[in-house]
Amino acid sequence: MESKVQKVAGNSHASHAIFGNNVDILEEILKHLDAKSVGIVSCVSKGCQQAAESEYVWKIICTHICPSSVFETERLQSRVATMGGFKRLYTNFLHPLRSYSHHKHCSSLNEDVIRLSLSLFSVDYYERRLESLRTRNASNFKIHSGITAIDQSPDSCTDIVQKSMKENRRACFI
Amino acid sequence: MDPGSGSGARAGLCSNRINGAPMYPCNGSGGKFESEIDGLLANAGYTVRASELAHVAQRLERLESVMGAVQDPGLSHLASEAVHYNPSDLAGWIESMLGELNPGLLDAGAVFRSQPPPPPAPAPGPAPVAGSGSGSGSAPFSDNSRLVGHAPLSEMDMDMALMADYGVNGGLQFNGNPHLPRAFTAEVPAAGVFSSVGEQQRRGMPNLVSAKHHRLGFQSAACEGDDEGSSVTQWGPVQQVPAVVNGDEGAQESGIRLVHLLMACAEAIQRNDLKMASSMVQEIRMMMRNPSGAMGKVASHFVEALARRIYGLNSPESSVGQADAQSELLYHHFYETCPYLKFAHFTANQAILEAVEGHDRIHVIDFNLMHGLQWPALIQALALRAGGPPFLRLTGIGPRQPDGRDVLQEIGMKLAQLAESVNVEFDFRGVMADKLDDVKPWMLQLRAGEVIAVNSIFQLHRLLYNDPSGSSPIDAVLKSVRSLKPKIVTVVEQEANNNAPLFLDRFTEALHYYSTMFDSLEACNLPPHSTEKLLAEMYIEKEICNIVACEGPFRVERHEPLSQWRMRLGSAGFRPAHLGSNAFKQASMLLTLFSGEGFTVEENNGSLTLGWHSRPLISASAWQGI
Repeated sequence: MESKVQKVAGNSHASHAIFGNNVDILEEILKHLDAKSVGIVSCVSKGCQQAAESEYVWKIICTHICPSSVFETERLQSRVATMGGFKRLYTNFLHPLRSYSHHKHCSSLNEDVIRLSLSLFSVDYYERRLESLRTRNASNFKIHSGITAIDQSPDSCTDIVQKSMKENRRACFI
Repeated sequence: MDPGSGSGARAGLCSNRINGAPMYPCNGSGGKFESEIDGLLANAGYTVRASELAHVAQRLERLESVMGAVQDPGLSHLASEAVHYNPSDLAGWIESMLGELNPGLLDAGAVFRSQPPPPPAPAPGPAPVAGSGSGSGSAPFSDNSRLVGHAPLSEMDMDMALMADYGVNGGLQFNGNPHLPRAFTAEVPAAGVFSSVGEQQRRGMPNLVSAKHHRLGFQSAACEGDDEGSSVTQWGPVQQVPAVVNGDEGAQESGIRLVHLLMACAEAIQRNDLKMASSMVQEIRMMMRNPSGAMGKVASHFVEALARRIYGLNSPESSVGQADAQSELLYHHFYETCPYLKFAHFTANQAILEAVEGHDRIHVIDFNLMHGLQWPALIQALALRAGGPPFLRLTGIGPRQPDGRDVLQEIGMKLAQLAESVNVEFDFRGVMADKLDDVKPWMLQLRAGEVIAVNSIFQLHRLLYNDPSGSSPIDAVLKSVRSLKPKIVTVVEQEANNNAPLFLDRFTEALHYYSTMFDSLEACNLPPHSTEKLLAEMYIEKEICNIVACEGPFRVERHEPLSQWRMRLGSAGFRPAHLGSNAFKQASMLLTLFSGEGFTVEENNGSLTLGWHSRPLISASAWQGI
């Protein structure tokens, strides 16, 4: 199914010819895909990108990967929408946490992961709202740093400190 | 001529009459053993003072390594073009060789080449090194002179660094050009030193600094006649050599050397030997011209803090509260880049959530609101609670702002907006207090029927100062917390022992702790010179400065390990509440978001510890009133 969509949508003339201004038809198709495919499709043309960024599509994607009906409540959906939308929730939080999910080949996430994602999402939303406060105050702040390392030495500081304590030498400068 | 007395072993070495070999005269100023010529080397035809032996040996070592590294043209150039007066003076010869092999490494080197060592005065061994001024009776300076000899070049540097850093504005005569010291030494050095003394006085720098200059000025005057060139040579190669060492021996070796220097400096401070300590600080700064990775960064922060301690340049506001825009910015970046604060917030939230299960009215008291970053997550989690969200009241305590803004109210409003968008009934109250022991229970306006949670993230350790009357604020605060009868008290603290009575112990422990923290920061996948990383490092640097440079009530970063907190809280009437497996799972999940592979979460008798490669850094625990 996905390859067909990609083939068809690959030709932007073709996509315009088929879908015209009815991006919602494309959305209906995309909602059956997984997140990665939607990402691929969004690179094809402007119309595809617009369809791929719709909240409708991402809401369905998020609902599909949750075992419980967490995302199906109206309340939660409106909440997520206020806080920045499902696409942002998926890309920034659900997706990175998927690697933690125990059933890696299974596409659903366990509930703890979802709760954590939602909490982090709320912090993210809150921080964005705090931006205005912060940028107002930080405009005059100049960064004055000490010595910045030019080379990234692989030796860890902890090892260095421990080694030198063990050796117990005294620097002979006098 | 019989050598002077000296101590037994040394006197033997200083014998000048061996097997009829030509006798090199001793320093006429009275046969102090340190200025006598070493007899064994004298046999081989070299003039080396006994006091210089160690020094010369070191230099020989370095010369060897440098020669190994130098390419061919350099060595042949030495053979044909170097002019070495008095090659029997071993020390001087080495210095000139080192100088030739490293032209322009430090700017003083250029000066060195243009003024070769003067022909030997008829007086014995002018010894350009250590500028003991030969027969001019300045032998008493011989031990100190190397120290003092370091002073002018690096002092200039340090002064300007100081002034740039700390904004000391005593009528800056320099144009702020970091190369200016070079210009000074390029002229007649003695004059250069004198004018620098004048500059110092005009600028009104701290007395310790100008006292050094006076001493050197006097010394140069004493040596003026034949040592015009030599006073330069005494600066030139000595400054160069550490740079050579860094380049050759590799990053780890130089890192170890840095740590040794830092420890030696701290020991000097512990002994109250501030003169030695400040010269070591300058040595370290010299070494840091070639930064050596993360260790160099750590060392630079520590050396700044040591410098502050030595010169007493503490600004009190750096220790009291975190109440300005700059601190807020640093805090924000520290929150973003490292998992420590997130771990703290989420673990505490989990403990609170589990404790208030089933209650409808919750009152949370936050000992330091900062930006309130902990609370959106709690609000969100309460919103998702089965059975609907409870009524949440939040009391945030925060310090007074220097610009008079009511930050607490602003944060409270933002939190209220967020709560409204997730349909949680929310009420906020701000309590402005500079110190936690100023907060009395009546200020919190407790209401009946609500369950209380107290939250303290990195706050309790600030109360551990023992004032002269013997009581600590911590006892009073724990007592009032106990009187609130909270359902849960969440405590997150650094897992370090930075409150030992001896400065040296504190310094050592801080070195270990913060080097681990810097390691973990390196591993967070950020571009090397990104602003976020720098700002996060500056946040840590503030803590370091407080631990190393401040004393008494200003030293607020008094970390203690979890075992000691357990005892304190236990004796204050609390018993531990175990953090469940949910908290552990959540913490592990959180860490997968941070690309540093080395973070570890451990469970430790019901409390969680976040560490870097098994060195614990932060510990989170929960408590209930008995």
